[in-house]
Amino acid sequence: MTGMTGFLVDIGGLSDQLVGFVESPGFPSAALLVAFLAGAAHAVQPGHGKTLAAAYLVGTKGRVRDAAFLGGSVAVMHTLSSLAIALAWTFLSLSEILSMASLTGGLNVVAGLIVILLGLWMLRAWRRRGHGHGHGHDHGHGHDHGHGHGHGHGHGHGHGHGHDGSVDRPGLALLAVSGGIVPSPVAFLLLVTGIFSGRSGLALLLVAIFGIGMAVVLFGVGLTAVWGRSLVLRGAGTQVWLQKFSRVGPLIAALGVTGFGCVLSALAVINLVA
Amino acid sequence: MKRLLPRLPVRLAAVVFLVPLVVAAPSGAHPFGDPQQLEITPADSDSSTQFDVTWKAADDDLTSLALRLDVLGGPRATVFKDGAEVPSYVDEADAEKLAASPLLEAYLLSRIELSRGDEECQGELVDTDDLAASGARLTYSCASPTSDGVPLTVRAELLTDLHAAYSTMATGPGGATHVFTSDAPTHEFGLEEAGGPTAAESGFELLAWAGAGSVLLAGGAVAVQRRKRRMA
Repeated sequence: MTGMTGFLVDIGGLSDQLVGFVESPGFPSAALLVAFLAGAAHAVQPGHGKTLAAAYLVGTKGRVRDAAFLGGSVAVMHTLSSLAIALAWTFLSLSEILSMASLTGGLNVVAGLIVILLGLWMLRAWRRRGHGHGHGHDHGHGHDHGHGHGHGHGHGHGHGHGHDGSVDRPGLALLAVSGGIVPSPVAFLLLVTGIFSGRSGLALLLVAIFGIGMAVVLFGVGLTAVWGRSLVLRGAGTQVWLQKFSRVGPLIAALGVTGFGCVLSALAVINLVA
Repeated sequence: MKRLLPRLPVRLAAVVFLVPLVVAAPSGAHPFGDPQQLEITPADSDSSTQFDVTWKAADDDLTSLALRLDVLGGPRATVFKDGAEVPSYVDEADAEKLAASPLLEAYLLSRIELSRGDEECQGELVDTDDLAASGARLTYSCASPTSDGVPLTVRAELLTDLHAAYSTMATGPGGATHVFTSDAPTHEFGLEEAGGPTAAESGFELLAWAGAGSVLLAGGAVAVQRRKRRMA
């Protein structure tokens, strides 16, 4: 567990340190920082639907607050999933029913199917938009600013009900479930170690902070998508090709997410039966 | 919230910096494994001198140990998963070959020691029929202590010779739990009472903290919603 597999830091080393904090007596404040870094490093690794999150936020005209909601939701889902599996492993003899590898493989299939569902949801929203509500809602008025002067060119359309192809909270929640349903090995190990060492409160705190570390990275990815889209729109101005593209963009995103979900599910099934 | 997005150059720099994270390839599965477990129970309800010990480890850990003890008839390629060097594949026959080897008993007896007071207990490997599913079962015979209340001292250093980060989730004779690590390989278990937190107590504590956290989170979400409504 000493290899360098993280994008930014040695996640194996961080994980070992983190579990060591729970195994040892006392409360080293460094544990909080290590938990945050380990969570961030874990989220930077491939997976967790980062590409999908970006596609979804671009395809649905997501806002900064949607990116924040997504990051936070993945963190909550990841914590809940780790908690449920750690409790089941300890008290329900989960390992006698199925191995952790099988369970993780199964959860990856579920995550893939959720992505397909999300893609179909996006397709449905695009079809509805094409059949009735028309376009031209890109000029929001920033009513969430509180004390603003009203820019008149804002990027937020505000309502977020998906009636115009804009972001849907249920869709984001689905994405979060898909991204957080498979717990990281270290989160599971932290909780089990906490239960067996009588320090389960500390273990849960570290797993929650680990989740916050993940959330910050995913929020950053979401911001990239939101800002990237905003930059393209601003840079391109009113060019015709962009207007045409903005109409089919959500369709491309929806098809991409659906296709991506199919690939994810297929790979997960292959891994599961291999 | 007035200036939620920073100026253009800052946005551009952020996008350039963060794009590599977005385009990272999707992963397969997280490599995941069951932590090894050690259960120590009195051989019968009245016994304080005979103990059954069951050690159970994940398939890939059994394969790693089999490779370490050289009972698979040759080396096997390894790969890195989650920063750990693990065998590139696990064969069902690996655990069977390990179970059939006399080296397993020598390994386990050198890595699991029980004692009461100054007297070391004598161990024996009694069952490895279904090593992968049920684990290995050992029995330990200890001398009668000269006085009551002498705890059972257990030293467990399982697989830590493969990697120092291996830990063992143990349950003692009274139901108390403990985590054996390479840094803390020895622990005293009480026999009359648990002598430490049990899994049930820790699990209850975990649920209580989880409940408190959920209430805090829900309260925060409600507060944010109310604020948004007020500002709307």
